[in-house]
Amino acid sequence: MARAGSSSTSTSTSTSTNVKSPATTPPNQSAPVFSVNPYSSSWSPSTVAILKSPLRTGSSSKASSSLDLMRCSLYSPAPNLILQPSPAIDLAPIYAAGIRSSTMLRRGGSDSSSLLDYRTPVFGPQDSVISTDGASRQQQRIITYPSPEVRKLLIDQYYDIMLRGPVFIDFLSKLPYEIAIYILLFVDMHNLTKVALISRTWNQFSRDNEVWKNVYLHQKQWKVRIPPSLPRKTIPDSTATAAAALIAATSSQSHEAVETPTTAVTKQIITPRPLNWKMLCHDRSQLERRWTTVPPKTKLLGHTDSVYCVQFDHSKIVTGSRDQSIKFWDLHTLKCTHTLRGHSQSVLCLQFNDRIMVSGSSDNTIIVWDMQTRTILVRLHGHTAGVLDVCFDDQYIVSCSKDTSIKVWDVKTFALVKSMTGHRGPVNAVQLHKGQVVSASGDGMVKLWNIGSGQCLRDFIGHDRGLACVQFDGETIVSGSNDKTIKIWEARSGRCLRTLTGHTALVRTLHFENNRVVSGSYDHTVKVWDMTTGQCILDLDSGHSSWVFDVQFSSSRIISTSQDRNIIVWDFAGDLDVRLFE
Amino acid sequence: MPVILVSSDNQDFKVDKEVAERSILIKNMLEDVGESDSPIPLPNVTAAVLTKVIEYCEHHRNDPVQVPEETDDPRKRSNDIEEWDMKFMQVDQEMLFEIILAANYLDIKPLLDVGCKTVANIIKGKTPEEIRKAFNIVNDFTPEEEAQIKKENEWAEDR
Repeated sequence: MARAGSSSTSTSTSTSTNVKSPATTPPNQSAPVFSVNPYSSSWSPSTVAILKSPLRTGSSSKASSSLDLMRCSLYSPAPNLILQPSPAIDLAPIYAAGIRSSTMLRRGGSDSSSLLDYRTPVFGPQDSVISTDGASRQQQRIITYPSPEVRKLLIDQYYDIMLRGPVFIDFLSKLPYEIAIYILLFVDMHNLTKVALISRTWNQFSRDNEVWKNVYLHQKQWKVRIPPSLPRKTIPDSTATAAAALIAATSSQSHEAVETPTTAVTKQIITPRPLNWKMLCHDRSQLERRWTTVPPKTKLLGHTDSVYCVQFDHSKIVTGSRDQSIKFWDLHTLKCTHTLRGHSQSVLCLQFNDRIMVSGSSDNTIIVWDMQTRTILVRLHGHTAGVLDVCFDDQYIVSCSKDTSIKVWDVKTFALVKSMTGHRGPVNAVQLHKGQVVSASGDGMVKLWNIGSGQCLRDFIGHDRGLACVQFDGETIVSGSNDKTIKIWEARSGRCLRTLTGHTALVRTLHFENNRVVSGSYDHTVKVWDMTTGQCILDLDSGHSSWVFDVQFSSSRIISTSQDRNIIVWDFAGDLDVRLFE
Repeated sequence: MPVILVSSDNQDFKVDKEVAERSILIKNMLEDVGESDSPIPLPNVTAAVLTKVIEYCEHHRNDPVQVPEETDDPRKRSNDIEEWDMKFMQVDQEMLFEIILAANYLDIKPLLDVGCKTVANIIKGKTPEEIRKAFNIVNDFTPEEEAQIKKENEWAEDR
């Protein structure tokens, strides 16, 4: 209905010119370089004007003289499509609540009645007007995003307009290549398979590497890690083909070097050839699907007693045992590479990064290790009973103990910063996130603490028995209990969002990330859960013959440890080359 | 101070500087030239298209400049066209085509986005046959090829 009835006649001549040379350079000017990179800085000027305080907005309306209307009638929306007067609403409560509303305020409006050629929005006298520097007046504009129903209606309506012609244009084929690709950046993986079926030309577009790169990098929680050695290193026979395929140059026109996405773990990589992103998408999807069937497993033997704790990264596994040792294992060969001794009793917990490792023991001490030399940097004394869990970030080391206290240490000076008490039982697990600590205790409580004040901010009440494990990412808390359940909590409100039931004994350990929880229990099983549905999607009951003490997972593996002295690596990757995925 | 823009078919358009500067191309030009009232020629844009483009810039004259976030997902953003823009884009195919080209040439990123999202929305909302019909495309695959492509892409389908 907003179609310009006679427009095609008046524009036809210039249209053909523009189609042929869309980027013709005007005199004295260089044409803008179109960038298909959505992150390109060329589109991102450095300053933003954001309206800080939302203001009450009056109604607005558009008015225009009949002359104006005549001038722009060719392309103006039909009257019913003109921006409707905005209702006066007070958005302050929405802002105060911190809710991202679909209606946002922006600066808008006009101070010029001098505009000649277009319909100019004219605002009524009751409109709020901000006086900025006296030179210009600013006006609020209310932006409305359509509901899904209205959206669909508008798209269908537009589809009908397209069918009316009079001119039909094969957009992807006729637009400059970069713009055609840019259109496809707005299309998801499922719809790209549709694009592939339209025609031979469209099929070519649907294979573009840039398009698939965009799909991969924005697929929820897909990460890619590009090890510096991969492109140059000679790859062992078995994986040579897969790896070669991975980095094969595609037929697309993308010649850029590999870029690391914002989520990438590493940044130092430059390779001369682009990754094959469609293949990466394929492999990553395959990997995702394998999480519903029991994967092959490998048992690591070496510890001579219960294995209490494990952490792994992309190259190594580190485990702590009742045999008082800490062992390093090569993630790929699964061979033990180093054994560290320092504690005089069980190693109950550990965490490492590239620089240091912190371990806690039933000998009541904490040891900070140098990760490069694997030697002891310092031993922290303070707890009067076993150290049951530790964690650290750039600022603090946090430990919890059977002595019911939580202690906070400076990660650089190793000085004791704070001791937080409040639990009435052993504190079994502790997690640290940006100055906040979440603890889980045998007293049945999950507590949220502020390190700065040393105060307990909130209790999470709901478990019937003592707690064994907890994880906290700043928003969500997941806890496992002796009541055999796992509970998912909203940290902000203290609300229990979901209870996962299925284990038949104490839930001793859990790890969650990206909507997936993996838990280990005294019922000898490891289970995988979907956090959204609360369903158990995979039950690994064929691995351990005794209590499961610790689990951690990545996109392609679960590693679990048990009282049965075994470390089990559950491997979902199989024949897929997953080195880029973790 | 108003700026005079001249379309390819030699029509003058008097526009507020603030409106004209929604186009980064024009903004840069004005910065290069400094204070000057000489008309700016836009040899790639017809009066009809320029009218439409200016209408868009007028409506968005005070919008904050887009800053792409790190997590900015174009596919998500395609659901984020405001209602006014969706209605504004209800023009015939030729005009849509010209607007996209003009937005690219004039370097008006939000308008280019809206144009491209409009096309993407048709792709997303319609069946292959409906898409071919809208863009007047002939299916040049043999049934065997079509089956082959479907098989190739099976893994990417919705589960």
